[in-house]
Amino acid sequence: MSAAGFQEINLSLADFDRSQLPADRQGLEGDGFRMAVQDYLAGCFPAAGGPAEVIVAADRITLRWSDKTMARTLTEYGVERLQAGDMKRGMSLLRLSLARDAGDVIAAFNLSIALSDEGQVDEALSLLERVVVLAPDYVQAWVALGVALSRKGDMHAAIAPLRNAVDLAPDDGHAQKNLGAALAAIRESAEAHPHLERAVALLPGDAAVWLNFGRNCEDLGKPKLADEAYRKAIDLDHAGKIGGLAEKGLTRIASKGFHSDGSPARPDALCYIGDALDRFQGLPQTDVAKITFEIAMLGSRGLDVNNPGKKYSVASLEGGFSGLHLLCIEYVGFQMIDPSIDLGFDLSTEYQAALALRRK
Amino acid sequence: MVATGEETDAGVKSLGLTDLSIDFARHLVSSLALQLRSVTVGFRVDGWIRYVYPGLWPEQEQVLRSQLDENQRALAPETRSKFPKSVVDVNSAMNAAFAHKAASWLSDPRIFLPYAALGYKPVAMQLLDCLDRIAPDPLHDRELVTRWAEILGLTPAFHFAHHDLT
Repeated sequence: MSAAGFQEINLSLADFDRSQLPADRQGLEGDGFRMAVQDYLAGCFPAAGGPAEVIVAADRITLRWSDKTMARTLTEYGVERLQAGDMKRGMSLLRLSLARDAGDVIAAFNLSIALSDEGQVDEALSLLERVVVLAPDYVQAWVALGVALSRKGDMHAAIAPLRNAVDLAPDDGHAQKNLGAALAAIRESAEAHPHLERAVALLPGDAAVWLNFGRNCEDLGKPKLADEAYRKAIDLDHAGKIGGLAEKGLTRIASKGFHSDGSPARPDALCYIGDALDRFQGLPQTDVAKITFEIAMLGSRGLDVNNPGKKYSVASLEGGFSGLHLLCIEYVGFQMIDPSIDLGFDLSTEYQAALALRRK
Repeated sequence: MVATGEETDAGVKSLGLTDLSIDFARHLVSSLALQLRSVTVGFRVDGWIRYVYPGLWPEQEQVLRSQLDENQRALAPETRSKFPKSVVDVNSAMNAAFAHKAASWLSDPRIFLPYAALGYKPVAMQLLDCLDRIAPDPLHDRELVTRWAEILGLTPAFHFAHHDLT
């Protein structure tokens, strides 16, 4: 049989074909016969393309040779094709590999991941269930089984395999991350928290983990921690979808904290909204839209509304503005362009108060 | 290629398996007949793929090596000792022919040496000679199978049935 680049074949000495030996050695017995077989086979290999180790001991002949040109196994080749993005060929090779050896857990695992990614979740689940039976210590397979179940929408069922993965490997960041996410998805926020906390420690460069941790902290009423987590996610995925979701999280936290002192309207916001109403008064709708969208674009990269000392500038307005000031201008702009747009930040109290002041 | 119960029993006799339980003996004969059909036509298909679709060679190489591995496992003394010698020899003869062809395609003659060591070179050469002498188109597949069966002593164990597509 072959391992990577290595062949080993065992033969019965009694089955050796004596007719291949020189005539004067064909009748030998015992060690003499063994030596004759050894000499003969050792001489065959160089002529056949390369050296080999020939061991003739007791009743057995062992032939070993290394083969630098040994191709990768079918499974390795299939996995390589998947990694290269050639899903169809990679999956086909892994299926072939499994047809030859139904117990090839590496082939089954990798095929199941590909199937899950391709949306063929039922077949992926069936394969993964087989893998975890064949290899109950295969942490990644337990994780994949949990992920596949969660992709199918069965979050409760996903938790057991993910727990198995975490029990087997508490320091596996992906196991912790997915268990935390599954628990959070079924609103078990308190139980999810330590897993997500461990996951961000184990996978500090994973923006999605920070996002989930931020949401979890937000659910648990820990805005400071949530704020930090969202900022990490934004740093790691500045222009991406996760970063965008983290920005919305920051905005949500800021919005929640905005009226937390119970005051009907924040004086600073009231003032900024009044300023915005003045700026937009008499301006054509197109100019209002231009200013509003420019702030919205800036806002999509994050406006810190809790730090009055931090100043921003936009091309369509002169001067520097705090994050809250720009948010107020944006809010008023959208009220004039399309009031149905939700900025995710409730300034309605300040807006109505500002309008009431103007009517007086 | 099909076999009646009588033909399978004739194969049992031809291979000298009458001392075994009849069910096991029949199973062995049926397995060898299946191998005969698969390997002969498989050689033709492999050759055709290699010639017509050279771009599939990486996959084909993987399959060849995988099949070689499986066949080599059958050379182990522990495996051979479990079966009657006549069965082991018919199986190994076909595997030797396969190894010889694979050794050529993979440019590694060492692959064939274990089979040669056990004395299967002459019969493998006979089988391979049929591949060269008989036309490689599907119309001649029966002739190829028949010739191999003669060499391997499997002639009594099957017959060809005619199938219509309609």
